[in-house]
Formats: sequence, structure tokens, C-alpha cells
Amino acid sequence: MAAVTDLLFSLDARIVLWLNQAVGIFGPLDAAMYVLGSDYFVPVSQALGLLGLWFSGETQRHREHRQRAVLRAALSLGFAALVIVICNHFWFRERPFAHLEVANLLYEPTDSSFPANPAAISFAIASGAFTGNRKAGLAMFLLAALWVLARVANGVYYPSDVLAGAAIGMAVGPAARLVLRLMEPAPTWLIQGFRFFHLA
Amino acid sequence: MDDPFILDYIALVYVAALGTLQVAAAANGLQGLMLLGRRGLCLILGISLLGGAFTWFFLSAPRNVPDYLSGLNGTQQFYGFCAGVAAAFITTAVAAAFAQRQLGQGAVSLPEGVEGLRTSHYPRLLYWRLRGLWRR
Repeated sequence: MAAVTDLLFSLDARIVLWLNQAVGIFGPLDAAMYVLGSDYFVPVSQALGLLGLWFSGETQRHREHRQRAVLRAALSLGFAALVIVICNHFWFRERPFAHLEVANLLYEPTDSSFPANPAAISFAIASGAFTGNRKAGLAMFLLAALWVLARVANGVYYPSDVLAGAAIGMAVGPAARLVLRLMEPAPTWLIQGFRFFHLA
Repeated sequence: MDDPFILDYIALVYVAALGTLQVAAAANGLQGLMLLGRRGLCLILGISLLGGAFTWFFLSAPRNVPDYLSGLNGTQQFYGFCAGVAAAFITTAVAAAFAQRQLGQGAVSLPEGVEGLRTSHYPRLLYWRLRGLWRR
């Protein structure tokens, strides 16, 4: 078991070091990684995507389907954040930059590396959005993947942190769906309340 | 601790949400939210606002800063986002109503929900809704 763990950790480190070779050699790529890897670009873009999804749709029925997906995405985000808080209570894994010699364009967080919070929340939002509109969902999955790739390349997360975070993000989607179903008619009332004021 | 850039963040969300609403309005024919008369122009305006907002945000100051310095934590981002989107919606609704004052004038009844924004502007829809409540 220990040998398998060592092999995985070594593979993790090798992937980080391999990706890190791209950092600091090409200005435009660095700029892209700086923006994509920040705490603001992907979350704001995904949240704005949900705002756009809320108002989109050809018919009211079509729009309501998407609005329910927005609710699922929002609830999934909450669940993913909660699971991360619980995981962080039990595990602490140091960041790659603490052990490896890497070039880093981003700031150095002090909380646990495992599981990756950005992966969990961005994949949770994307999987929620995907249930309402596949194209929007795929665009959000792409943003999520670029966000975590930038952070792995800069030595802020190990690939296994990101995989665990993404798995959490994807797993909370069905849970959010179930909870919303159990909470009926509250979600329907919420949408009807917004519709009453011409906001849904 | 440095001053957090919460106001910069709200400004980013505000302008980017204005852009998102223009793109959504143009793509879905929501005339009552469009700041310009033509859908193509609204789409261009929306994309420009989105691109401009992010460009300004990332070029105006260093943004890769932890939340124990001047960066924002998740809660601050959540409230900042809600404030920016609410302000952007109000601005859009008022400005679109001003730009298209005649929209929905003389209508006998208005469709429910967002559908109403295809044929009327938001203040008119809200007025009708509140008037209906008052008369009950």
C-alpha cells in the first residue's frame, strides 16, 4: 500500500514539474496562466454564465428547465464547499511549492492542497449548468479545466488534489438534484416568485 | 493588512453583468432589456463590456493576492457578486426603459415572467404587476 502511495505521490510531483516547465518562458502564456489561475476570472465567468442561463430560453418551459439547472449549480457549489471544509478538517496536505522547486506566478495559499477547492466548486457549477444546457455546461467544464491546469502548472496543487476536487464537484450534482426534489415545492415557489416579478 | 479590493471586484462584476445581460437579451430577443435598438449592436456592446471589465480588472492592479492581504475570500466574493449583479440589473432595466420609452405602450395584457420583456420594458411590467396587486 505504501509503495502504491509513494508511486502516486512521485507521479504527482513529476506531472507538476513537467507542466511547470511552461511557466516563465513565454510572456503571453504566463499572462494567460496569471488570469486563468487567479481567484476571480473563472468563478466570475461561471457565475455570469449562470446569470445568462437564467434569462435564456425560447419558451417559458425551456427557460424554467435552465433556471432549475442554475438552482442545482448554486446548491452544488454550496455542497462542494461544505465537503471541502469537512475534508480539510481531517486531512492536511502541503502544497507542491513547499516541496518542489517550481516557478510560480500565483500567490502561495496556506490551506490544505487536498482536495482542490477550485476544482470542486468549478466542476460543481459546470455539472449543474450542464443539466440545463449542454453547450454552456461544456464551456464551464473547459473553464474549470483551464483554472485547475493553471494552478497545477504553477505548483499550487498536485494533479491528485485536482482529480479529487473534480470528483467531489461532479458527485455533489446528483445530491443537489435529490435535495431540490425533496425540497419541492420550495424550488418551484422560488421560481414562481421570481416569475411574478418578471425575473424568471 | 492591505485594503481589500472589494470595490474593484464589485465594479468588475457590475460592468461584466451589464455585458452579460446585453448578450442574454440580444440572444433571446428580450427587447425590454436591450440598451440599443438592434440585437447585433447589443451583442457587440455586451461582449465589449465583458472583455473591457476583465481587461481593466487584471491590468489595473495585481490580483493574485491572498485573502489575508488585500484579496477577497469566498464570502466577500459572494456578496460582492450579488451586489454587482443587482446594480447591473437595475441599471439595465432603467436605461433600457429610457432608451425604449414606447415599448409595451398600449398593451392590453402582458405575458408572464421574462416573456414580458420581449414586448415591454421592466419598469412598465413592474408597474402593471404592482397596480394589479393594489387593485386586488
